[in-house]
Amino acid sequence: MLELLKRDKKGCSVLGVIWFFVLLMILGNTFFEDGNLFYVGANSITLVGKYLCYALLAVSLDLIWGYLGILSLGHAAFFGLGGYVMGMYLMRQIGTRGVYGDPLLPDFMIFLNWDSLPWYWLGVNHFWFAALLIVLVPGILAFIFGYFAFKSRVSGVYLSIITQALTFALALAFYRNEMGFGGNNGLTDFKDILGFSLSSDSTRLTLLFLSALFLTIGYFICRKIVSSRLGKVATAIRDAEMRTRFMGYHVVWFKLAIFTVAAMLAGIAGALYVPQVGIINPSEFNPICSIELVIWVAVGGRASLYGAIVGAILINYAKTLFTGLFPEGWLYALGLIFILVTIFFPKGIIGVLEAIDLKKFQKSQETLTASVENQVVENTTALASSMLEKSKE
Amino acid sequence: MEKPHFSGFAKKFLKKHVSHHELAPDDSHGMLLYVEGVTKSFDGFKAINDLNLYIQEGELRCIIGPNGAGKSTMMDIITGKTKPDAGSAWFGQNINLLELDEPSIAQAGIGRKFQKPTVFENMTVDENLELAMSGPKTVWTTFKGGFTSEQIDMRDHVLELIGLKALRNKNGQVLSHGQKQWLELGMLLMQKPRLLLVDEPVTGMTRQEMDKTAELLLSLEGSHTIIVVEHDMDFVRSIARKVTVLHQGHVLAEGSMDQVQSNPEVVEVYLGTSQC
Amino acid sequence: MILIKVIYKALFTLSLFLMLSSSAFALTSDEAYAVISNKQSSFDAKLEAFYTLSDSSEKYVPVLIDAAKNSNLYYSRKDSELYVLANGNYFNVKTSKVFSGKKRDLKRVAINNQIRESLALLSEMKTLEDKTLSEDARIESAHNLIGKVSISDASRLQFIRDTSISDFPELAENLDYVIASADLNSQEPKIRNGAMRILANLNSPILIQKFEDIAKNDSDISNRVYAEKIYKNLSSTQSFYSGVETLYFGISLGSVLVLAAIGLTITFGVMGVINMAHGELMMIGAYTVYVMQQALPNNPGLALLLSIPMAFLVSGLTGIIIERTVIRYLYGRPLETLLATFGISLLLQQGVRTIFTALNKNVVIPDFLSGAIKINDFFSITYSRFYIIIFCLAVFFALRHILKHSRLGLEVRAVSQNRAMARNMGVRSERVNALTFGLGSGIAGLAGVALSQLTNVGPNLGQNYIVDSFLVVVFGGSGNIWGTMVAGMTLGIANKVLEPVAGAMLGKILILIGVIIFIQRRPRGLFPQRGRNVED
Repeated sequence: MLELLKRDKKGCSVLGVIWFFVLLMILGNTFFEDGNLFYVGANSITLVGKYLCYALLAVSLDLIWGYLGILSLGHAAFFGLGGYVMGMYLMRQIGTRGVYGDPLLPDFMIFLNWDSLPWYWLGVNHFWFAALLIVLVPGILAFIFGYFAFKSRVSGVYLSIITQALTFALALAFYRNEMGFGGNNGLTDFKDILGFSLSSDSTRLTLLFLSALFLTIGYFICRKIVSSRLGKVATAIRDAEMRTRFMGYHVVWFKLAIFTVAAMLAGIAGALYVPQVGIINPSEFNPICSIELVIWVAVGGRASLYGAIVGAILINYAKTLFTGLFPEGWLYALGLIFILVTIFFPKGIIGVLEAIDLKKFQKSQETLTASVENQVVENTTALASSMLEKSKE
Repeated sequence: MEKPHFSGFAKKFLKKHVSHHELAPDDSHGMLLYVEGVTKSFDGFKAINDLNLYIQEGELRCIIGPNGAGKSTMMDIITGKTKPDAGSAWFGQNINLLELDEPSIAQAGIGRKFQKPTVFENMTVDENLELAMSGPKTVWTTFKGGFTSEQIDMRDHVLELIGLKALRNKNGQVLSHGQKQWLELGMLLMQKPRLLLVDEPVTGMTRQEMDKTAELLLSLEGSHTIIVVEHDMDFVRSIARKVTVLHQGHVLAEGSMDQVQSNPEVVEVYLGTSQC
Repeated sequence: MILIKVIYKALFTLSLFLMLSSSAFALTSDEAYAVISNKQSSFDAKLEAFYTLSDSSEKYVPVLIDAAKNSNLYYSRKDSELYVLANGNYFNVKTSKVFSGKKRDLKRVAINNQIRESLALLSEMKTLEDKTLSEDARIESAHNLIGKVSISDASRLQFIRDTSISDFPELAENLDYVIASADLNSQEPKIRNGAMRILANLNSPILIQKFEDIAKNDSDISNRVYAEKIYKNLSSTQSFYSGVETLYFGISLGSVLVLAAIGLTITFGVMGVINMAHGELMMIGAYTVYVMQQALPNNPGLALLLSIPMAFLVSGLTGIIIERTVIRYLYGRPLETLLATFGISLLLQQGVRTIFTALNKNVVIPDFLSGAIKINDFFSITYSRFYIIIFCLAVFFALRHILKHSRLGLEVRAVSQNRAMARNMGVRSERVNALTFGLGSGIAGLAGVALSQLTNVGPNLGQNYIVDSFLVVVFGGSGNIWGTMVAGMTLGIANKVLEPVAGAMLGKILILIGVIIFIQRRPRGLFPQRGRNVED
């Protein structure tokens, strides 16, 4: 583990900066009053908490896109599913405080004249069970979907399009009132979580802290995966799937395992997101959400993990800033970012920073290659015979 | 760092389904590969037509034939990439190749070097070899990582064998074409295959490199069974004990290089057109 | 029990009699007018007042009844006058003067369904009796009355029938049907039987219920048997034509999908470019129609026709600009084209919002696109759908011709199969790329023209179709326009078949799932591209 941290200096510094700010915010809110220069208000806390959830989501996408070559255009669907599970838990916590005051049924069900809770709403009032579902629901969907997709070797653009169709289908399904998830309006009006009021600053701070914590944990899970041999196999699959298969790797299971882990992380991100923003509705399943997510990762820099964090936070910060200042201009800016990044900086912000290092590296390379060429031939004869003996044993 | 989301169930599930029974070919009859009556057509074109091929344990067999003779398709069928329309393909007496997918066939002991070398350009030479390393190749074992000292010895040994020791920490993309071919051969050896399918191993090599490749292949003869597909006749002549000539997806002639070259049919369809 | 039934029957007849003869009592037309404009009046009183008016010879009556039927009748709270809402203005029923007071003083005259039905009946009756109208219009009215008339009203029709038999035999025949349909309710089994015989060959879906009713409940066994026969006949005809209708709707929806997807087949299938801005190119086509209609306000039909080449040019040029500025840097990297073109789609959408605002634009549907050819009472071909199908086929075959027989088509195919080889043989692949992309984009513009007649023209028009279009292309097998055709039609028809069974939303979800499963089974679609280079 320590070894891992040492080798990942950039990732550690990105996370370090995040923790620095998170701790500043916690201190700022706890020790200063409103009006003080150092005071941090509830809105800022929620905003940063939201960014951190997005960052975790982006890291999980980078795991499958950057390292496994799966460009999912429906990854936000897993985020949405995790969010909905959390939303269901929070909904059940409202109890009799809803408009209709029914102890069991959420308001929207009474509005639809339902007389009992659907079976899939049972049990989510227990936090542990909901927490389990937060990872299981996205995980199982990813597993089933991935199994069929990878087994039949759907890849590249085709895979992208069916992931988009998946999230589109989910969006349509969740817009339906009959699904029992609040239809168009989704789930909202939450009151408290584990008994703590969602509107209190301390709960918000705790959620912010947890978001940072889970981002860190999620990041290191992904880091551990990509720096293990499993990560090498994943990269091999990304670069030459057929070749990897001929080396004896059952590609389907590798893809499936990583895809499922990524979906679970996305689910966790969604679950942390919902209590902070206070609502989950089917718009999270809109294909555009998933595509925006792809852009965060592309802008930050793919296949680096920390690039995804940087991209998610920067773009969303820019979005907050822009939509406040020039609401008209945001989509122009976003569109231009898409185009410019893909054409000029395919490796994103991180790639630009690293390109400077790489140039030095390549120069030293050229001299090496030439000298080695002769050596190859000489070594062969002597060693071929020793190989022969060894393999005979 | 433990992975908290891999519950025990998932672990078991992955182990059960990803790892598979160690298959080893039964070669008690001295034959390692049986390809019988195999036919495969693409859109009506018969790439392979009633092909029969038997390879003995420890043999080094060269397969030649003009373009479109079906050499690549034959390799595809043996390695599981393509399923034939008819016929059978057995590895030893006990492994039906037509029932297995590519990774299982590779695990059973058939290694393949592709015509176009595909080493992993973003990985170092070491990593390329490690990736090919024989041993359990499941999600869980690769995640846990680590190599035994035997595996590390094996890697270093192959590294010397292919002469890339000085480049071991360099990325695949900086290698020359010849070096890539060697690395690819090295990766093949790392898999410890019983049967090596080597598709055009000397393309892009200098005469000197070619000789060394021939030496390497010859040194493996006996301990490994090797099928070489090659266009370069000089190279074939320098290593061939037994040559099979394919034509229009069918075995046209089989025998020593001299026998084959004196076969009038072969001269007609193949050597006759281009004396090399 | 029997006694109660008799009493009920007597009461029923009595009430019928009262309703019919109510005009004979009491009200004058002015009084009736006052009843209608009084918000205190009960529905029954209003109904009676309408009947009274309909019998009077006041000139304003047809207008008033027509307005009331369509809920366009208002009363003033100030002076108890009645006003008709037409083209945004309120006209006094009697004087035809435009209402000048405050709008909040006007309230809609409340009516219920019973009144609405009676009014519909009354206005048809008025048309029938009005000899100044054309025979066709009167026949139409007679037709509308089938199955809706009570026996008592039938006697009034009998008179019209008898007076028109010599001059207007066709009208008289239709009236026979109306009267017969009323006679189905007769107390007398023989009359019912006679009515059935008249109606046996009239294929009218309205009477299915009635025949089923008779087949089950009639006191006379022979009537039951006879009705059963007709009922079976009718319902099989109905299910046949509802099948035909589903197919027709499916093909027209399929045509829309094909139009939307076929340009994408060119850019995605042939060039390997994932053009996420394809939807926005359609949107541009639709806005072209809007702009053309603004330019030619008096002739929306001509504007629409002119929009076809215009939209092709505008979208095509936009496409060429996109290709030259962005896509050409990204060939061979399909996922990158996806991202960059998505950025373009955002720019185009926002551009349209800036120029035209985010509101949906009102595109006029010209007269020749509205209306329908009536095949029979079960099925009619609506012009709009018909033209969409024709338009789709025209675009399809034109494109096929271009690809098969033109120099550009040859070059496109050459480049798509082997870029390097084509370049060696002198094909200028840069130019071919630009033109191919322009062609695909231009066709998107054509699809936009079609969509402008079907959906709201707004900045989101493209987004709603992009996922569907991609599914059609992938389902059909990329690069194959026949595949796109078959896939589009299949999805269109499947959608319309599932819609009544599963509901629109669920039907769509089922189709999405179906396509996902299909792609997983056959990743290269219905008609996969052939050749060595497609592997991996």
